[in-house]
Amino acid sequence: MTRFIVRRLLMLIPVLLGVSLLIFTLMRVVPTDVAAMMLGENVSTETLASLRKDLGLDKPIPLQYFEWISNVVRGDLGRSIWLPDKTVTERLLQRLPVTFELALIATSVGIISGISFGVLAAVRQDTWVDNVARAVGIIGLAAPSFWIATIVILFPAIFWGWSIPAAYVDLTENPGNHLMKIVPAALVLGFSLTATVMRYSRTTLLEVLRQDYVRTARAKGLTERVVIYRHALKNALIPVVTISGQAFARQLGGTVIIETVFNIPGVGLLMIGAITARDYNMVQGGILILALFLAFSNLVVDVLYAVLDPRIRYS
Amino acid sequence: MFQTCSEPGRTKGKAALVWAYLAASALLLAACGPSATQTPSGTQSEQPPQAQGQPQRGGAFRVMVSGYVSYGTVDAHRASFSPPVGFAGQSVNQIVKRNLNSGKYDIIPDLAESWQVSPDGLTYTFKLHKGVKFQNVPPVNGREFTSDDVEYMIKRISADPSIVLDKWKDLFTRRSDFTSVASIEKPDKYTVVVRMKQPDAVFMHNMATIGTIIVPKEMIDENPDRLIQDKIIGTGPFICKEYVPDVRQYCDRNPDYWKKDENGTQLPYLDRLEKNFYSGGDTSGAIAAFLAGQIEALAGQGGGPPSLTDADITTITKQMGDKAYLITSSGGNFGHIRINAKRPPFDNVKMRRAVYLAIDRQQIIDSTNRGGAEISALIPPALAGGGAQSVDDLLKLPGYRQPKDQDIAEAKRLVKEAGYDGATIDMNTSGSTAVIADLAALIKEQLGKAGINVNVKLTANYQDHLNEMLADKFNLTYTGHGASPDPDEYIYKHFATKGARNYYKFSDPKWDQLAEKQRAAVTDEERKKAVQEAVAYHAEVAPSVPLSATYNQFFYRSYTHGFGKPVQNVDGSAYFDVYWMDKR
Repeated sequence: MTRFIVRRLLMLIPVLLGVSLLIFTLMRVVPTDVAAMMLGENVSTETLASLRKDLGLDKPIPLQYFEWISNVVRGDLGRSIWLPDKTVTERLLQRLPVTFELALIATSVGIISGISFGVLAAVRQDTWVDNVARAVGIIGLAAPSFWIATIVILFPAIFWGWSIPAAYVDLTENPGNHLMKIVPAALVLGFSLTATVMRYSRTTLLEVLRQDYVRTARAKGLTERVVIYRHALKNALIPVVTISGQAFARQLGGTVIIETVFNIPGVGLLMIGAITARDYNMVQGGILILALFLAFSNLVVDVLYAVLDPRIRYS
Repeated sequence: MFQTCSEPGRTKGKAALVWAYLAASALLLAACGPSATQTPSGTQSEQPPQAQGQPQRGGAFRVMVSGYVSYGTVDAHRASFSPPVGFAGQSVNQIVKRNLNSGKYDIIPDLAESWQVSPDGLTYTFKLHKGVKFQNVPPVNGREFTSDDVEYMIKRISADPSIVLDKWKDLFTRRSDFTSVASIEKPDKYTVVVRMKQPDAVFMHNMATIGTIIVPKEMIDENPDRLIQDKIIGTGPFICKEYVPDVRQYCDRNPDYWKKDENGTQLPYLDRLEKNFYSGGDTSGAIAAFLAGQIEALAGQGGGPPSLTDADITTITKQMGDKAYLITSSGGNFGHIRINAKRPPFDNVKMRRAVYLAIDRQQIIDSTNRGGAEISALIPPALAGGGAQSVDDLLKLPGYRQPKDQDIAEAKRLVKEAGYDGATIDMNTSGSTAVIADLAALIKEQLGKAGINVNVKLTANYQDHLNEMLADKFNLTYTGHGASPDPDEYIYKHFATKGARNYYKFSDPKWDQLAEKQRAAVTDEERKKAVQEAVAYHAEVAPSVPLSATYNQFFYRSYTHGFGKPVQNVDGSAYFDVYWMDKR
């Protein structure tokens, strides 16, 4: 196992280099000159050239990449082009906790509610409970999160004159308002995960419930509760663990839209602003850090498989 | 209070509104149309409700401000557009400022008690208020405001090397605003004498522009980069204690503020300002917050990107009833067709004039602005006091008059005479929004009637479009930009041969002479006459086709009072000192 982890960690190096090269290239091929954006319309060609030189944008692109990645290797993600008073790392560290909190709540809610509804739908197969759960599941998979988010924001305001707090506040500052802002966003973010997990749980549990050993358990006179929770559910949830392992990473990606609609100042919102402003260092640093977290979370999931399922052994 | 297109039943009506908003806003628009946007130039379509009694002290005024706040400078000396002004507006004063309440944008005193201009226009003498103190915040700690601060401000805006680090000087995009200043003298602490190299009619406009704010040197020196970044101190009515980019800015009443109202009551009336930024470009949170009473004001159309749609305004109007009012004023954004006067076929004045005549401005406003704008000549009608033509006058002129038959016939004749009948011409414009794409299609249709075939080429975003203009790669293009209260922006900067924004490559000795003449005018009357001459000549040589000036719209809750015309952003003006509420 140790060798496996070390090997996976070493493999992170080419992966991250690839990501860095990709995002660096993408930012450079996107049309628009950040220097022109900073200076606005009222600018001469000389001034534009001067600022481009100050920002190092006049150098050949391979050289720009080499200089940037050399600093990254030394732990320096650089400074925001627009807001040079703070480093990219400082600004990311400010925002990451918010994004992680959102993704973590969304993942937890998605998995717990998905499994619960999936089990309920399976044991009440073809009843109204099952029909409702399946219908909600289809909506969860089909409806885009920004649309659901808009409904969640506007409906209460129009019908009851109540709205999710306009302002974001830290958990330590005002826990009530913080949760009122974060939880609805997390519920929306986790809705599609709920639907996915619910459908998987329902299907696999129905399959397991038709197995011989379940029939045997029932024949032995065990209660339905014991049959389902002690015998069937454990086996039914193995595929669900696979989905859930990747869920956190998926939710991290989904925070970009949800943070934008709910106006939650996390990394997603920061990236949207940075991309719009062509803040190269901020986008490159942000994406690289997110890629690092994704790679680590995948590694953790792989390790967890071995822990949870004794049949899996890495060599 | 609001005009409405129908009055649905309560619950059913609300549901219909929601679904209409989400799924069929276009249908709603078609059914209702604009409700409160038909307003003559420079007047308010809705008056705030009459307040009972005297202004009251207290209360927290909360707004949501749109835009990517963290990705624009907050340093108002560098650029006079919304983000920096929104960041600083409530904490600072200017020497002089524009009177947003008058509807004429006239210049009025602020930190200056008075000012005098010498008959030759070469000397400006400002008498400053005595005893004005900066906010009692480190490092300035309530020291007195003096003439030194005025000199410092002019030098900093001019990117003087003794104040601005060389590496940042390019970011000071207003650094040419005071190039006509020869010297600044300070005979005493309360007098500033500015001597000019030559008469400059734009000088007072530059002094009154909302970014020309007084900040203490100590605050700038505190930061190694000498830029305004996340802290703002001034002599203004509110002390900002917390600023989190993209999130919020909270400011409390300055207990030592120097201004009093006409009854001798110390200003400001409000105890607190809470600005929450919605930075993601989605307005639903701001609308919900306004409907739910979490904020007191909401920017409507023209209130800064992203503005509300007509459907949003209709929804809010119906939902709020008399719990809110809407203020509308003209001059938010000036839209026009830029013509490249250097390249064929538009190096031929007949072709430019043909485009000028063939365009149906009212149809464009009805189709793309949906009534949220008024027709405009070179200078928006809201600035009629500065030499612009009023809407009524414009409607009598070629190019503006209805029906269009006569103008189209004349345009056809000019196109034939120029030898371009049936020629195809590229129109390069930004495809960043559906509105601009629709507008380009409409222009194509309108010019087709005059025998000019237009091939529309859209860029992916505004910046690419700007790059094309800078690289001289266009024939025709649509552009909108913020309206300026001074005619020089439209006359000199855009069309003079040396104009900083002369994307049109327009060069005409007579025009240059007129542009210099209005700049050098000493009296208001002289300038107005020079501006009118330039405006008339612009119509003849047509280096551009002015189309529209959009309205600024802002919703306010009915218990709020004291608002003038919205010009920049819901929090963009430095008028928070006179805002008050009857509910706290």
